[in-house]
Amino acid sequence: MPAMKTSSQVSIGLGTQLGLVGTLAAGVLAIVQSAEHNQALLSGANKPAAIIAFAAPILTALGRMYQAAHLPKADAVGGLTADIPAELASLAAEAQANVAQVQASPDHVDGPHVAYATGDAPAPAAP
Amino acid sequence: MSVSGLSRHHTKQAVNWTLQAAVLGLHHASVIHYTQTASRWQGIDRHRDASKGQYPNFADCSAFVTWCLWNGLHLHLGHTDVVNGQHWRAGFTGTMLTHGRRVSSPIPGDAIIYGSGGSGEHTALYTGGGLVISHGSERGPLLLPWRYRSDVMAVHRYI
Repeated sequence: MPAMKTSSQVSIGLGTQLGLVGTLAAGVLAIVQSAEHNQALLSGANKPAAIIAFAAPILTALGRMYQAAHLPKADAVGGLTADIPAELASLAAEAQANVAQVQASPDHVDGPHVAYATGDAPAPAAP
Repeated sequence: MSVSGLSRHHTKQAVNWTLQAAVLGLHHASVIHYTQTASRWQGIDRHRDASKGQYPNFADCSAFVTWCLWNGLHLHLGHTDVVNGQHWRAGFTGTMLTHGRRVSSPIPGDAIIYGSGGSGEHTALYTGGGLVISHGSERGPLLLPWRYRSDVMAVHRYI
């Protein structure tokens, strides 16, 4: 079996969330800054710079959202999606090859005879 | 709302911890032996924490799946045993079938239960991407397509 790393990666939508937070914060900052330079904006002297200052974080956030949308994802979880260990996705072919192993030596059968490992089976029903 | 009643944030955490345990088992397949004796519950009995790189050395299919879900639901979040209803001290496919929610298609963290009826015969943990991690023999946990057996009996969600 090839070496694989464990994964505690989280989170779908984390990039998107960060992007949105960044956008909001940067937008507020840009508005404050533009207000401070209101006179300059009215005159048009710094207008291009102000527009760039306002648009840049938005474009950055959109870029992050695009990246988040294109990360490898697993199936939906609770309306969201969760990253799965990337190693697993790359091992689909190996998983298919493992089928032959199982067919040659089938799974053991689980059953109630091994249900209670600690000897504390439920008390019998009251008569 | 998730089956377990966890918030969306905790649901995602629980799924990731569960998958982390399963992948850890896959990584250490050669030293996770298959047994149906009492030691199969070692992972939970001895508090093997996958987030610390700890895993059981003995398990059977249902004990392995339950240990993974215990990592996700109980170890970090303190959730009660919604997988088998046995206070995390016992269980098998039969108890797994009577808990959680039966769903039509799997998402990561779900248990696939195989068998031709009754209390089921085998279970594996769905990882996403159409794959499961199954501990069905001395081979140890193995990555397989989730329909590697033709007798998929149920998909159960606990998280």
